[in-house]
Amino acid sequence: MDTQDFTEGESKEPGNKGNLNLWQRISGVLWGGPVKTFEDIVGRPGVAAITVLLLAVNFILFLPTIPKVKEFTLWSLQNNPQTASLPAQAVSAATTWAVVVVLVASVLMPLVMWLIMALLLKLFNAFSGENAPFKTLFAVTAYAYLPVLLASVIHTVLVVLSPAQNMHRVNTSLALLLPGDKIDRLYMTLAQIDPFFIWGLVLLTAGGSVAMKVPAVKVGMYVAVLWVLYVLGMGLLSPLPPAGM
Amino acid sequence: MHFLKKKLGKMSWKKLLAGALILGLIVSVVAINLVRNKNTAGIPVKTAKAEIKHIQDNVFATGRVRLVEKQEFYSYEETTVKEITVNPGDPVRKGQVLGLLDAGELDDQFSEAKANYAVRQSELEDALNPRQEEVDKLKADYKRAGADYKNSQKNYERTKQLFDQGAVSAQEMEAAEIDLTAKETAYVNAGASLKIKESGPTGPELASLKAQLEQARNRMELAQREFDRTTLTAEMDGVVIAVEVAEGDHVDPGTRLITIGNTDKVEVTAGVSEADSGRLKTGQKVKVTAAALPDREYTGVLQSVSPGALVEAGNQGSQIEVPVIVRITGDSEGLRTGYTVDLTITTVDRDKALVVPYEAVVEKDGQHKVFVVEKGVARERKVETGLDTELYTEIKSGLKDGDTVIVSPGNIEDGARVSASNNVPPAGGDK
Repeated sequence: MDTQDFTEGESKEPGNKGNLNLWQRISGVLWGGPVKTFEDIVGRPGVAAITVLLLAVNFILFLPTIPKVKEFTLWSLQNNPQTASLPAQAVSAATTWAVVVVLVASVLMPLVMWLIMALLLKLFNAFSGENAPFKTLFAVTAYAYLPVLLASVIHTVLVVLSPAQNMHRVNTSLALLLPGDKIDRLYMTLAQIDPFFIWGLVLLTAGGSVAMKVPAVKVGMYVAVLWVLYVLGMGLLSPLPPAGM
Repeated sequence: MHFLKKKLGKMSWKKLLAGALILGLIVSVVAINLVRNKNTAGIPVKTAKAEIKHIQDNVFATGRVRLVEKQEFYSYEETTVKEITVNPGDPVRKGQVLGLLDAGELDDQFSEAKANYAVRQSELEDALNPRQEEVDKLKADYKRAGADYKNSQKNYERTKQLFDQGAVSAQEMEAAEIDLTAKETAYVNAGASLKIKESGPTGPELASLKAQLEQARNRMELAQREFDRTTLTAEMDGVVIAVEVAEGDHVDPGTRLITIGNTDKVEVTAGVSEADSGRLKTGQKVKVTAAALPDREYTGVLQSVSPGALVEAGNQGSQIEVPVIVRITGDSEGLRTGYTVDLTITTVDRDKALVVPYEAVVEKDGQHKVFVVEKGVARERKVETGLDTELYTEIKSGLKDGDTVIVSPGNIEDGARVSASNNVPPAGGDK
């Protein structure tokens, strides 16, 4: 990613710590100049605004998918021999439960993910670089989540535009390139390789490097190793969905 | 436009490249998703291939090894073990004495019964075959009685002449008459005795004698059996399986003392659950394994299947089982009586059969049908089925090797678009 200084006349100078507002930070992280932006974030790591904003956007993105989630759940239950004859009350409960699960996964899970990533950076920081407060590292992970949020926007739009039956086929990972709908180990592995997520990891590396004052290569190696382990673990060890689903 | 050019002109080429990359990524992701989702997804189904394979179906049970030929010795009354001459594992021969029990009064009872029998036997023998001396004596008695009778007749006639002439008194005449009658009676009796002796006993007398002899013989045999039980004698060749008492032990009636058997001939008794029992037939092959012999595998055949079921109490409540007996056909070395063994009874064994998972076959309108996946579309096919195993159904016609069928098709209709998301892994066929 670009690491040079901001030169836009209307922006405040990003090199001056704590000068950028929330929107300038968002645009700076995504496109303007992540390193300089993270320098600003590290100088004034306000986490409340970005956290609330991201969670709110996630929640808003969740709302238009509710009818699709319900419709897809109903369709899946009706076409599964084991659940085809469920009573209406059970179907209704399952549909509601599916919406709750999607809500938790899309709104709350990012928060958990930021905490875990911040903890991993803090663990790295215990052995390397200058001491960076957890709050600063959390702010870095939250801003590094922006590309994933962008993917969520694309995902929501595609889900809304697609038939409910195709909801599970909407994807932003490399699994998109596989033909057919067969869910095997290759699919599970490629499903973990999402360009938007990788973009987020690059931003995490840049932000972590700035926050801990450690060379980006060093942080990048650490993040890359963890990510490869995560991809392999999820791809090779996570259970395949039941046949027929 | 001019403003945009001016704006872009101020940007570095790196920023432009990054922007282009981001834009390209978004457009690509959206485009690929739109292309992929142009068609509605098929109903996700589980599929499997119709395959030619060796199918086998088994029924499993747990049984216990027992000897086909064995002899168990028990005490029949309260007594003491006098002597034990064998140890477990000793080979024994038919007729070999394995031990002695204290006979107590049984010896005397047997002797007495034997003597009584001899007496009764002698009595009947005498009655049926009289001794010549006795016959001769009766003949002499008869002859003498005849002579006495003749003398008495002459005396009577002489006395009567004298009485008619008045030479003797009436009293003398009456005495002669009485003497004649007595001699006549003695003569007739002697003749009868001789006749009876010469011809032997008849009718009720003979029957009574024979009954007494039979009774004596029964008592003697009973006494002998009771006495013989105190001598533990092998009635077969074999091996001592167990010795459960020692010399000097006091034993109650019914105590098992020694068990011998032929270890070359063993069988297994087991109970098969009622759900599986319908698949059993005598003569089916059986694989026998024992936890005590993990490296060994024995073979046998199902020898008998009980016509009735029993309620067996188990750890998980009572269950209904059908008793079966498995005969070990091959080498049974190492298989000890009392071992718990696992039985694998092969009920179906077909070398080459076209099969599909049994869940793929559905019954519609009284016919067996499957759904074949052709280019993402479910096609209903009528099939003729054969053998059923726990996992597979044999297809005799309607499918060919390699056809993809839907497993548990549920509400799938002919012509429905389906998505085979995960094939059922090919099972080994054998279970």
